[in-house]
This record gives sequence, C-alpha cells and structure tokens, in this order.
Amino acid sequence: MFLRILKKDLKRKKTMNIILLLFVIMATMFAASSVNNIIAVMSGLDNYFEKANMSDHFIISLSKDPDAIADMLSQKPNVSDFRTEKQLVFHDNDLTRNGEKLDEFSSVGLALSIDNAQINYFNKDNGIIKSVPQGKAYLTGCILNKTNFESGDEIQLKIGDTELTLEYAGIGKDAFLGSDMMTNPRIIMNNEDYEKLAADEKAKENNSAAVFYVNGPDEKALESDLSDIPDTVLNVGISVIRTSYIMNTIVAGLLLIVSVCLILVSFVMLRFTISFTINEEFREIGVMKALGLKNRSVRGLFLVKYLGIAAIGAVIGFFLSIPFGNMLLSSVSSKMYLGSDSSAAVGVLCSLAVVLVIMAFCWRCTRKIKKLSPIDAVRSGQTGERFKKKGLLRLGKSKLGATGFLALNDVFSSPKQFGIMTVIFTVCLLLVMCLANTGNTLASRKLLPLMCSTDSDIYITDTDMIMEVMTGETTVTEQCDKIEKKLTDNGLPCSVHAEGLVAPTVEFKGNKLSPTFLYCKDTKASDYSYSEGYAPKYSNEIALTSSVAEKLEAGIGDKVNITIDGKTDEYIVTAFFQSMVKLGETGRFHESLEVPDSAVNQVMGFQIDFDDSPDEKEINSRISRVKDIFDTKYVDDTDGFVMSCIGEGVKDTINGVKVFVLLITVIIVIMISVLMERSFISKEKPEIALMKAMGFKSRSVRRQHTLRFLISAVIAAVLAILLSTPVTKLCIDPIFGIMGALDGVEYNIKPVEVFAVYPVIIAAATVLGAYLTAMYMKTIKASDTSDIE
Amino acid sequence: MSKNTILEVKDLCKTYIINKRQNNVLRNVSFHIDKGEMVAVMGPSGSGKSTLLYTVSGMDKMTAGDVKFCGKSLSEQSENSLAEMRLDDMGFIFQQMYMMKNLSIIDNIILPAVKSSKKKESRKEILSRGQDLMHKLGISEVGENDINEVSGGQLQRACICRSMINDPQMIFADEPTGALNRTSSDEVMEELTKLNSEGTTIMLVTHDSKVAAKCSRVLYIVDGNIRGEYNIKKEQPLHDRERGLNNWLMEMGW
Repeated sequence: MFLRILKKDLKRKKTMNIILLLFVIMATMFAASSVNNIIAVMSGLDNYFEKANMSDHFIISLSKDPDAIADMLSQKPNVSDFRTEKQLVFHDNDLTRNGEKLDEFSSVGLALSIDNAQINYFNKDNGIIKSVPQGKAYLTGCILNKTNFESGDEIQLKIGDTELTLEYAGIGKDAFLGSDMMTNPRIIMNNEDYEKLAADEKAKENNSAAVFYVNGPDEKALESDLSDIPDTVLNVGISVIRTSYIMNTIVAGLLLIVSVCLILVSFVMLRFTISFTINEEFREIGVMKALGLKNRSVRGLFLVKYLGIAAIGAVIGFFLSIPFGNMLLSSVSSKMYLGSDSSAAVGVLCSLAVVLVIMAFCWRCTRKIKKLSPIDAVRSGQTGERFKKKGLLRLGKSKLGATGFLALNDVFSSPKQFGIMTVIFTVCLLLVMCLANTGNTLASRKLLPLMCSTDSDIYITDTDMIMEVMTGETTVTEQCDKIEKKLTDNGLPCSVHAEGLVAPTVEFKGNKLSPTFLYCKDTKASDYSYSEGYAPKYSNEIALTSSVAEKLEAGIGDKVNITIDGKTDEYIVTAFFQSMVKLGETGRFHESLEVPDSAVNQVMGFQIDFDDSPDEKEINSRISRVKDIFDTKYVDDTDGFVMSCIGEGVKDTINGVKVFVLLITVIIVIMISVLMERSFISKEKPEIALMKAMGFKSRSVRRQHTLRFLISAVIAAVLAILLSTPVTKLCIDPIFGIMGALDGVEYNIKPVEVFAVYPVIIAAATVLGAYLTAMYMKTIKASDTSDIE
Repeated sequence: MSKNTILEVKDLCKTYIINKRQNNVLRNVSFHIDKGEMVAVMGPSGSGKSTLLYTVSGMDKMTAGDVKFCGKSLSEQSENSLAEMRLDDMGFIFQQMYMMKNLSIIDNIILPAVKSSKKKESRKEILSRGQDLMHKLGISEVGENDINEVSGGQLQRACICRSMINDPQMIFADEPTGALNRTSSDEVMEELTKLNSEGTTIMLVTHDSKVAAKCSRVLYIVDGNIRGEYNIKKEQPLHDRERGLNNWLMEMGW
C-alpha cells in the first residue's frame, strides 16, 4: 500500500518531482564543486609549491662559472642543500615567430632541458612534464600573456650562432618563474635540442646561466647569508615567490567568493523548493489522515519520497560537479597548479551532505503533519477559521492595469517565495558587481599610489628606452632630457621625470637585505602617501615598506646602514608605505639625496607632464602622437601604466573570470527562473485557467507571470546597487590587504557597467527564462477550471 | 438564426482521445437559446453537460459542428477574439467558486472590468459599479474581505457579481449551487432568476430539479445527445413546476 501510494505520487506529480530533482542536482553540483574549489584555492600555493618540489631560496646567476657559485653555496653555514639547474639565457630579440619578435620582456628569458629540470613543471592539465619530444618546447611565464600560441605553432630561438625551430607543445606551469609578476619566461625543451644550443661557442661565452634551488633551516638567515652572491639576476626567498603569485591568488580568491555564493544560492533554492512542494502536499496529507493513516506513516511516505529524489539528484550532481569544478578552476589556474588530490572524496562527502540537508529540511517541513488535523491539512496547512490576509494592494485604488496590478500584488502577497527569488538574484548580481569592481580597480589609476608613482599625463614604458638606462648606455636624467627635448621639438612642451630604481644593501641589527629603493629628483617625498610616520624631509631620511622593515626588524626612528656604490651611510626610517613595486620589497629616498647616476639601474617608466595641462581627450590624442614620435606602442595614460605595472595577464584573467562568472550567473538565473516559473504554473493552474475563463488573453497571463520575475529582478537590482560598494569592500579589501594595501583601496566603480549593464543583463535573463517557460501556459485551457481539484 | 437567438448550436461534436481511445462526449448536439431565456442542462453524471457548457461558451474547442454566439461563429474566432468575447459578452459562474487568492472580494469582482476596454470607465466608476452589484446581491459588507473570510454562499454571490460586472449578453453557470447548502442555494438561484428577469440570458448546468424548475427550459442530455427538451410554464407556482419537471425527468430515465 505504502509503495503504491508512493509510486502513484511520483507519477502524478511528475513535474514538481522533476523540478525538485533538478534543484537537487544543481545544489549538489554547486556544493561539491565549490567546496572542492575552496579547498584547492585555500591550499593552492602550498599545494602547488609542494608538488613542484620548490626550495627555500632561489638564485638566477649569469656567472660563466656556475661551479664557483656552487662552491660558495657549499660554504654557507645556513645552506643545508641545493640543486643546480643549468640554463641558457636569451633576450626578447632572440625569440621569433616567422621572423617577428614574439614579445618584449624587460628581463632575460631562460632555456632549459627537461632532463636537467630540478623542479617539477606541469602541463595545462596539471600533469608533470616528464619528457619533451625532440623539436618541441613548452613555454612558461610572462611570454604567454601577450602572445597567442596554438599547439603546433613554430617558434625560432637563436642563441649564439645556433638557431633552433621548435614546435609549441603547450603551456608549462612554472612554480618559480611562472607568476604574472615575474618577467623571466622559460622554454623547456628536449635535452638533445638543448645540447645543440649549449654547444655553440658564443653561447658558452655569453649565454650560460644557472638557477640554484637552495634549502636551509631558516629562510631569513638564508636570505641574509646569500645576499652577496655575485652576478645574480634574481636572488630571493620563497616568500617573495609566494608574493609574486598575489595576482593569481586574487583571481583564485574571487573563485572562492563565486563558490560561496553558489553554495548559498543552491541551499536557498533547495529550502524554497522543499517547503514549496511539501506545502503542495497538504491536501493529500489531509486525505491520508482522514483515511486513518498514522502520522508516522504519512511522514515516512514523504521522507522516503524525498530521500529517493535527493539520492538520485545527489549522484547525478556529484558526477556533474567534476567537469563543472574543473571548468571553474581552469578559468583561474592557467598558470598555477590548482586542485586537490581528495576531490572525489570531498565530492562524495558534499553530495552526502546535500542529501542530509535535504532530509533535515524535509524533517522540519513535515513536522507540521503531526499537529494538523485532516481538515487543517486540507486547508493547505492553515489552522483556524480565519486565514491570514493575503492581498496587500487594492485594485480599486490602484492606477495600474489589471496585468501589472496582479503581478505586483502577487509579489507583495507572497513575500516568501518572491523574496527568496529576489535574494538569489541579488546575490548573483552582487557577485558580478564585486568582480567588475575588482577588475576595474586593478586596471585603474586608483592603484597608482601602490605603484609608488605620482600622477602624470602620459607614461612611456618602452623596454628599449628603459634598457638604455639599465645597460648604462645613458643615465635617467639624460634619457628624461632627451624625451623632453624631442617632445618639445614636436610641439609638445612638457617636463619629464622618472622613478629611478636603486638596489643598495641595507643592514640593521645584523640583518642584511637588498630591497629596491625608489628615487626621483623631480618630485618630493611628501608627494607620495604613507601609511605610518611622516615623509622623509632630509637626505638622510628614508621610508620603507612594512615588509622590508619587518625583515630588517627595523621600526620608525631606527637608524639603518645603507651601502650605495660601496659607500655606506646611516639613514633614519621616518615612515612606512604600501607598495606593489618589486613585490613590496621597496624603500624610498628623499629627493635631496645625491644618488650617483650609475647606481640608478632601472626606471619604472618615463612620466610626462605637458605644460598646457591637457584634458583627457587631448591626452588620448597625444598618446597616439607620442607613439609615432618614439615609434613605440608602449605609451599609456595612468590607467594603462598601472595595468602595465600589474601585468596585462592579470587584467585579461580577471576579465576572463568576470565574463565567465557573468555567463554562469546568467545560466543560473535562467535556470532558476525556468524552474520557479514552472513550479508556479503547476501551483497556480486553477488561477491561470480562471483568468483565461474570465477573458484574459494568454499573452496577458504570460505577461503577468513574467512581470513578477521582472519586479523581483528590479528589486534585486536596486538592492544590489545599494549593497555593491559595501559588499565589494567587505569581500575584496582583505584580498588587496594581502597585496599591501592594508588600509583598503579606493575602488574604481564604473557606474554604467556596474549599475546599468549588469542589472539589465540579469533582468533580461530573468525575463527570458520566465517568459519562455510561461509559454507552457498555452496548454492550460479556460475549460480546465472544471478539472481543478 | 432568428434575430432573437443569442446562441445557436448545430451538430456539435466533441471528442477526447484518452490513451489512444476515442471518447465521443458530445454527438451532433443541436439547440438554440433565445435572448432572455434561462436554460438548464440536466443529465446523469458523465453525460457531457459541463463539456457542452464549456464548448458552447468557447472555453473549449469543438471537434465538429458550429456554435454561433451573437451571430458570430466561434470556430472562426481566434483565441484572442474568443478571450475578448468571454471578457465582454459572457459571464461565468463555477461550482467551486474559483477566485484569485491574492485579491479581496471586491477586487475579484472588478477585475474583469479593469481588464476590459468595453466601457471607458475610471477606476472609481468601476469600483462604484462593483459595490452597487455587491449591494444588490446583499454582500456589500464583505467587499474588503479575503476570499477565505466569507461563507460559500457569499462567495458564490460574489462570483455572480464578477460574472455580471461587464454587463454580459449571457451567463454560463456550471452547477452554481452544487457546493452550497439548501439555503445558500436558494439565495443564489433567487439572484440568478432576478438577473434573468432583468433581461440576462442564462445557461446553467445542474443536477438539482429544484434549481432547474426556476428556468424557462430544460435540456436533458444523455451520452452526449440531447434526449429531450422541457418547457417550463413560468406562470405556474414553483412546486407545480417542480412536480411537472420531475415527472418529465422520470420519463427521460432520470
């Protein structure tokens, strides 16, 4: 008997049962994939570094005699062991595709043989690259940001007099140099190809290099110990490498927010659907109770039914969560190994949790059965002779038409069901808005203070011009004067300055560091912002980032020894500041300090301020002119400059995530609208038939149903607009905090995009989903009023 | 079709296909109703009474035959014009007193008038007309109540008000007293009779000979065919009419 009732019920309420099943599948899919992604992101870098077999310290040496460096390392007391990975250095001009330079990179590129790899490199599917076929090569790092490669593309690498044509084998994930902030791309090739290049006499003389992966018990002591290794391009501890992944971590952090939102949405949906479907069952409950079935049996019937649906949904959802989760992860982890070994177990646990949650919801919802008399149950769970008031608005007093009024009245009369829908739409919208605000802020001048630069009209970041300073061909002052003259000669009178980068050795209480100091004669130290203390006022005063100060164990007021060009002087720390330059390993000198031109070996970019203070439109037209004058494409406004400092890859990744999340959100919103509207139609069949019988046209009823969704979407849009700024601050500030912006950042909010485009997209998706589903109402005829129970 | 005829039904057939089996619910039904008539349709359960009512009112599609309402053939009308006809020219009363759950009684009553563009009335005028109708049917005190807060009789009278709000040419009622007790049933029939005496044409389906006796004509339907027609002499006292009708029904096999 029990089974027969159950079977009949499943058959008769096919639509609602299918809708519930779909919601369970969605909830399981979101929950399992999201929890897996949360674990993958939280343990992301640790897991990646562990899998890659990273060391505690890293040195890239251009010494012709790597064995001598190895000997030095063996002598260091804090070095417990080290591995040497031989490399060949190349410059951006050496790497071409069909004779054209692939990309410009400010530092050197490295080529290595897979047989000599001392860390694990991963392919795009996170498999360890164990071998590379002859004639093929994997590319890693910054080169992948600007250049589009397709498998099978041929590239030419010329080292010395030897040129090799290599076929692109795919992305290589390089834990050491693969982050968006690192500027050394690598080419991983077959040993025979590598030996061909290494055998070149010129290469032996000019291109030999080695990467040393050094381990030691104390990272800080190791850093101090290794600060005097000569001929290094990079000499950093693992913490700096970790920091270099900050942008990738931000993007992964966004995935975390996406995941939390998806879990929230799925459980809200489940809660709604279960209470909705159980409320629909009250008539049956009443009849069963009237027939004499015990409470336990009635409740058991529903619990068994929902357990069956939940179990089937959870199994399907679990299998769907695997590709869905991978899809989400791959959108943010093209350069990182993100994933967890226990994803299947986590997925199973999540699926079980979803079943348990559903059963808990059902247990709670069916608790009412005990208290209800058969008559109460027949009255849809309401007790007493008087029912609570439903309609809130009055048609007689309203100025709205019948369709509009009915839609609005329905929304306000059933706040629970439409409220839940509004909450889901709001969460979805907030998610997209937060991502958009973050992406727009990362690509805007609002982050300029973190780049330790002042605001200028335009910026030139041409690598050739910067390289002239780096190689000592010219000085910063000379280069600025040259640019200024050329622009003035071309009718663009201006002043040019540049933030010079100096790399002195800083020592305090026996701690030695080589941070990068910013120095600009043409600006004042007080022009920059500081998080603590006061701007340096005299030549013997400096500001440090909290990260450098922490490593030195120095505070404001302490006197530190700084050696520039072999000359050591004492400087007072007067302030701390926030910086994203050189991964936050930064300090600032006062402008009155006489730093020898030879010590300034790099610049951030050449900043141009026109004498006539042009407006934005004029600046844009001048950018084109300056590009022509200097024959370079690397001329930007402030937004572009910030972007070039952060890395184009980050912007593209965040934009990619933004579009991806928008797409997922639109799909979710459409699915929710479809499923909800379908359940509304099922529940409101009598009213639909009645409206048709009264003479409402089908399109009027469809419009009424669609309008209800539109009203929900509009309320959600208003709520999301009001909440977007505080929610963005709440969710994204901690992420910027990790980057060094501990006091938060000023967000770049694009009102049209955030407050108009996204709400319209979500509202349109809602309306589309609801309207298309409402077409189903065509099957309900006016005469169905006679069939209603 | 005479000038006085409001509904003319010719060879009406209605067939349902259930589990690939053809079920002929109405078989070549023909009859007509003149303006101002009050016609009852009676017959055993499953004989096709309600199907007939829904098909001739355009709520359901006919399989064959022709139905002319106010001279217009329903089979030639589009879904939209049928909806317009139902809104402006027809009124419906159902056994189960269906109403919009989220609306008050008065709002349910005036809803068709708000939707209709037949009369160019302000919302105030519509409301006042709705209140007048409620007053006429003796339920003016429950206008602001929700549909759950009134008795079955009051609700059915509200349904009558709703069916009357657009001054329809004809009211179709499907067992309007079926869910009511005798007192409420009498009250509702009294209202319908009053409406009819004021000129409204009514076609109603009923199982109750007491209800049918208040009509001017009774159609008796069996297995989708009109088996017979009985004209009631209105001038006779009610109990005589009832007796006469019951005798006729017994002859029909009731």
